[in-house]
Amino acid sequence: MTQPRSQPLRILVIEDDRKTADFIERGLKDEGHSVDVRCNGNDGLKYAVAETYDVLIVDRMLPGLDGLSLVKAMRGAGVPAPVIFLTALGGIDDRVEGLEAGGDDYLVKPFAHAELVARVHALARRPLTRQEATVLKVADLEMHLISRKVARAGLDIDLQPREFKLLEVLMRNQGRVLTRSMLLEEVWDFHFDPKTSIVETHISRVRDKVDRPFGKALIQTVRGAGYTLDDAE
Amino acid sequence: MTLSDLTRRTAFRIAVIYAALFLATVAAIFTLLYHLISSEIEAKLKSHIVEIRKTLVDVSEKDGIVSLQTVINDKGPPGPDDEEIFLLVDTAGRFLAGNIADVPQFSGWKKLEWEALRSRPPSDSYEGTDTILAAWTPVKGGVLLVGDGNSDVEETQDLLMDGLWLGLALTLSSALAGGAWLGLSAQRRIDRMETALAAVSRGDLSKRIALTSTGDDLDHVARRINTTLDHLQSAVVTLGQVSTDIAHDLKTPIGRIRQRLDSVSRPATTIETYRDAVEDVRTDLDGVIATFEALLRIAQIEGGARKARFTDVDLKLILARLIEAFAYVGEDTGHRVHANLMEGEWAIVRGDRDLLTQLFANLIENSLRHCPPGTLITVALESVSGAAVVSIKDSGPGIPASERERVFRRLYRLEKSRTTPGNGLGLSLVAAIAALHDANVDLGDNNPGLAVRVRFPGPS
Repeated sequence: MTQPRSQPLRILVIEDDRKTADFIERGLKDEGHSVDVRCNGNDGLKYAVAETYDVLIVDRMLPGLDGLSLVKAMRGAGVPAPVIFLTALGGIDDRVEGLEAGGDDYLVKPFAHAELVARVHALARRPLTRQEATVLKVADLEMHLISRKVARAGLDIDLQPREFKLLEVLMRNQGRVLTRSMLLEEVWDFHFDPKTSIVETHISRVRDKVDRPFGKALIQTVRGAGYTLDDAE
Repeated sequence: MTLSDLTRRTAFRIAVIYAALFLATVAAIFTLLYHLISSEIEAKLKSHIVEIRKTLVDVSEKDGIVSLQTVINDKGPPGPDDEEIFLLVDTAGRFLAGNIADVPQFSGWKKLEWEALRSRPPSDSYEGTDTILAAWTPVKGGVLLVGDGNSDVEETQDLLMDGLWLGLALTLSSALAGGAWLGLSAQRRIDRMETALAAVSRGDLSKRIALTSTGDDLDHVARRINTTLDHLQSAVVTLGQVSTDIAHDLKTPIGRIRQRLDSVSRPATTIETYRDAVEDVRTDLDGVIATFEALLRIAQIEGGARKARFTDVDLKLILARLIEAFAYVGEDTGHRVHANLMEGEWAIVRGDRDLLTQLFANLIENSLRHCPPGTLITVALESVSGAAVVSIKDSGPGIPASERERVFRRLYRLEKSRTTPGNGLGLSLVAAIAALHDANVDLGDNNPGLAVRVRFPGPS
């Protein structure tokens, strides 16, 4: 994996399918996180309320208490930890229902390991109370959110609105890998998989303006996973 | 059809019930007429008798009972032409005069049977079959019985009865014949429906019910059944075609995966080839998963899953976002994406924003993928008599008119697009989403190229 290492997280996985649970557990442990696995809803809820986790990964279909009710109960008990729902193939209402129940993200099974890791990292480090910075800064790249101006090494860069949004999302998640589908959701609010290269073409436009003239690239392609923006040494 | 079959038929039962009702009505009308006419004629007969009696009473008043005796003795015995009867008795009840023998006294009117009367003088030549209507009345020095034949009344009654039977017979036969005809013709058509449906249930889905030219309710039902059968047939055909197409479409990548795994499981493979193989296998499997995902998505949308979450959506906003998103894609592939979105207007429809976004994204991507570089793609939003119409036009290869119905089928791909990427589900998804929104998708000719029109339902 070429993904950057991140600080260790405590993660609770509530999933009744042994193979999926193993797959998630192994993948996250490889990233250096500590993982608890519970395989039914009631057990999972007990752990979720009693212990403190950075992220919960909850399957929607669970024996005992189902995933949606589990998260509702957990939120009722005042647990703020971010939740990623795992849903079966093709459930088109799942995203909305998951959000309504108090979930923060969702993943459709089967999913790529890189997708799960990227989403866990993105959620885990999301500040709980959103303190609105007015200036984002990575290396010599600066973004003024109010005046909507971008400059690198003191030179103004002219960006189209969607390019601005893309760069903003990348800068806010500095050092984190953002997958193609995460970018589609965050930047375009597209919750489907386009067959054309919307993300790629926009990344390339932003690179042309933000990276190319300055020699040192801030936006990196993470093979098999997505993109990240960081002040790489 | 056996007799017990016949009696179970609705049409036949209705015919019998109507016949019975008809009969009852006719009988009631005749009974009423019978009584009205009979009493009218009887009243006339009574007034005739009262008139004769009055004359005779006048005689006794004026000339005494002996004169009356003489007058009555002059009367001949009752006969066919003259059925008047007279009997005069004294206060002690002894016979004084008359053309019949003793009749006991009674009060009021009474119908006397001929058999009970003996004429005086006895007459063998006439035996009346009618009854005699008669009444006693007091006269000076005695009591007088005057009566007359009831034959007019009875003749009329007989006539009426004959009429009644004839009427009933006519009514019954016409009601039964009419009912049977109606019942049988309806039955024949119901039988035809039954035969057709039986054939369908045996598996011949092409069977349809023949329509008559009447356009009546049975035709209406038959037409409805035929439409249902059309849908059923096309659904079954589609189902068969889809399963075959899924098998075909998935066999290729799965076969490829199998080969790839085979080739790297041979000994003396390097880590590099192994890694490449895994990457290839992953790509192929992602394609397979995407196909299943799309199939399930279409099935869910067709099942109306999202309808409960419909909100007011601005089509203009959706299209503007899509055009912005695809502008760079178009630039890179050498296409021009042009928008014409009714400046300053709104286009609000009830719907699901995510699904509508996907609908138009699929259509735009379709044009991008199938048109050669340099093609102009126009996305336009217009209002046609209050209904929002979105059209996406290109000047690419288009779709032949004969194929336009079929491209909405799941996994269907034009022969020439077999080699381009895509899983043949994009337009099926478009059709499913449009149907969920009661919108109509029309594929037309842009001369040259393809013109897709999505027409949303107008304000109701």
